Amino acid sequence: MFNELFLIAIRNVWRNRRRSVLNVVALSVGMTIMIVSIGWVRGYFTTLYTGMMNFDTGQVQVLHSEYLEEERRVPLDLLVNDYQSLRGRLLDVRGVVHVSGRIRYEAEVGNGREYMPMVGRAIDPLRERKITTLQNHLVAGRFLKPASPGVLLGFEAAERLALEPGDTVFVRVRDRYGAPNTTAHPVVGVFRIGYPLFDRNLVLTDLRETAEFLRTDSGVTHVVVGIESDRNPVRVARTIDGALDDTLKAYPWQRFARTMVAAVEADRGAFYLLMGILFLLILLGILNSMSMAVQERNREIGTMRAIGLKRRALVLLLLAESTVLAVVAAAVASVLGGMLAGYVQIVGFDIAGMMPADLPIPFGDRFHGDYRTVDFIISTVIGIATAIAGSLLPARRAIKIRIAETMRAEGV
Amino acid sequence: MFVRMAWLNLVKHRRRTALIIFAIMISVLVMEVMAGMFEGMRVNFFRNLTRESGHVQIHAQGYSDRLHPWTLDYAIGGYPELIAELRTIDGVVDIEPIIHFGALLEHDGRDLTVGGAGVRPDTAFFRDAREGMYAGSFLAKDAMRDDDRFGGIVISAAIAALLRVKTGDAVNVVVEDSTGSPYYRQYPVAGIFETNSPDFDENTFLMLHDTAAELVYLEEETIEVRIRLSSSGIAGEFRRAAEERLRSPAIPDASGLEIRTWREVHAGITSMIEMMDFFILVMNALVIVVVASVITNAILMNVFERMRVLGTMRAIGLRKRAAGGMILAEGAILGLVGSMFGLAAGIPIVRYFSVNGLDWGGISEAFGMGSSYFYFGYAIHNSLMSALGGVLVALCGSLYAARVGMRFSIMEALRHV
Repeated sequence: MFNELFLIAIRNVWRNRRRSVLNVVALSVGMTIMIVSIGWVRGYFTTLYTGMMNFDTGQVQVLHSEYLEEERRVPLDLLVNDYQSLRGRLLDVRGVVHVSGRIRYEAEVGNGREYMPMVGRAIDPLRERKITTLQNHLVAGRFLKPASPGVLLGFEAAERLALEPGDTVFVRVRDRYGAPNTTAHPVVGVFRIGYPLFDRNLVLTDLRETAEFLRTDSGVTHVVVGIESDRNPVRVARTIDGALDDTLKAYPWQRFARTMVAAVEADRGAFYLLMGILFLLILLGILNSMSMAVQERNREIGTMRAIGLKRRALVLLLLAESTVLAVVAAAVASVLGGMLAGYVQIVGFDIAGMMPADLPIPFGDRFHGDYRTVDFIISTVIGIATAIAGSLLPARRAIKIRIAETMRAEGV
Repeated sequence: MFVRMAWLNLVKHRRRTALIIFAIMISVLVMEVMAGMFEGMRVNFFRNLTRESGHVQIHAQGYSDRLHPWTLDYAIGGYPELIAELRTIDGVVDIEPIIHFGALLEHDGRDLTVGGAGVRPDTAFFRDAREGMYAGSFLAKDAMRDDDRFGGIVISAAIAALLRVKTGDAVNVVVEDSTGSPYYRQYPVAGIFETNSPDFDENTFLMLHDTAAELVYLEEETIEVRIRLSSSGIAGEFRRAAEERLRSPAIPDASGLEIRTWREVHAGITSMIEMMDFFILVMNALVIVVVASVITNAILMNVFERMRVLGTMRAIGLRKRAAGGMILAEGAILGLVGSMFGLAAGIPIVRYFSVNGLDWGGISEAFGMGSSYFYFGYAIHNSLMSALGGVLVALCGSLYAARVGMRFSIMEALRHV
């Protein structure tokens, strides 16, 4: 019986081609936007969130409890002391797999003639590479080695200072006690991650070497923690926090990327809102269309009921008509959405180039969406569900029609 | 007569009429709110420009390519003559010199690297700071005591908290002067301000222009001449006039100057706003496509449902064109009513957020809004465009329906079920 109903549904859809085309256009536009948007928003998570963790924040960080309040001062007096001992303790926490110390400091970096202000980040080279992926973005030279002098510069900074691996770079800092200090280092490598804030402003130095010229002894400003991939950073940060004394505090990575998280959440909210509005309009369109179809086919429905079509089958017939429309729309949307998704996934967009350079969001050289088969399935399911929802009311009205009355009616 | 008949038809099919009006209302609402959002971005950006960074900035040649944001290597000599000359150009509202320099503020063992701005006591820029004073007073020469010959500094509440200072406390200002030598002086905190921009508050302190010139050792020199014009639209025209004037031998140091309009100073944000304009156009187009299909479908059904009526009317003398006009009149009424409802719902939303704003935090500042609050902007031309969009969608749908409906002959129309 289902096959027959389905065939009748196809015939009915075909019979009202004009109306069907308009419904298919509305549905396919909605579904195409949904396909493209789901992968685009997922791209935020896979590209931006992962990028932020991989380039910058790790998953969890432990800081002096007053550090963030005074972060703007880039304080070297609010340290996590005895980092090595803390590291051992953190590695005992469930879910923690890597721990590395950093010192964040203000520096003026120059080639001997000109200087530019940069953010200095002293890292433990062997441990840092297990948490972040800067070593994968070298465009010249090599990564830092422990106890081997040298600095890593961002591509843009190196270009502006006309420095390349092997050249000497001068780093001017004020140490923990405010005393000025200038040191000379060889440039060992140049990285480029497509994040203007880092490519232009970040200089990486070796932790041990930096601790000497900043006179921070065994203290670090940040302890960066890498966790098992299936763990929730917020929960792990809470667990770590419980094990720390009052002078230290653990934060999940989101705390260090608030602007980006706010931007992504705002964009995601706008996407949901737009989708909600579009599908509400589509639902109204289908509701209207199916109501009209029921009214137009009053006598036909009456005749079918008179020769034995049950109410349930009638409902199924009308729902099948909507489903046919939605399936056709899904096919159109899959082709259109697939082409657009393919472009966004493979070619991508140079979003960073269109945005202000100091925007703290790591779009990379090109932003790529992250599309999966499930996006097409989700869009199809939502499209079908909308079409069915739009048909429920007309179907309800159809089953209430009295057979005798329809047979008496003359046309409309 | 058409309008009256159209009105009667619409009243007769209340449910469908309500549905079409609702669809148009939603589309106009979406267009109005989105236009308000982007208008806000544009308006705030320009207001921020007018208030803070001016419409035109003049620097020494090479300044825009400098490596260090606070370098003193690019100074403008003889700036009073330059200002006097440029002030006579039409459209100049405010013009004044500003010295930008980097400094280390130090107090009681706590220090902070910030940017200093040397400004006139009656500066027309930095208005947010002036209006945001909540302790002490803004820079004012007559408020200076004799022993504070160099005047005080004005800092933000954020900086005051970081340095743990209050008005009247002495702060050491350490700089590298224009000769590259380290130098410092002690200044009292004359006032503390708070603006809506955490970025500005954390990174800027103000002092008098002459005081700054003495501190960083710039004699009769400044770093920037900032100009506000009567309108952002005349910035290009002003630049051409200024370049012409600067060729005059009366201003000997003017040959090596770069004049940049707000478009060049804020190239990143300007291009982003242009991209947003394109984005809003695409989003509106998508909403319109969906709405258009819903409306066209509904109006088409309206026409088919009344096919026999139309056939009868045509049989008694109504012309095809007149019947089509009636359908179009229906579309126009639907479009107008739907658009009015859309505006009635959309304008209060835009108005509300243009007054109260949305706290978008750092993202709003990063987009050049000059504040962590993002304010919508209301413009009547946006409402007219949104309403026009709604009416046009309804008219297009009606036009299609009228064309389809009028293809039928009278006999076909009378037989139509």
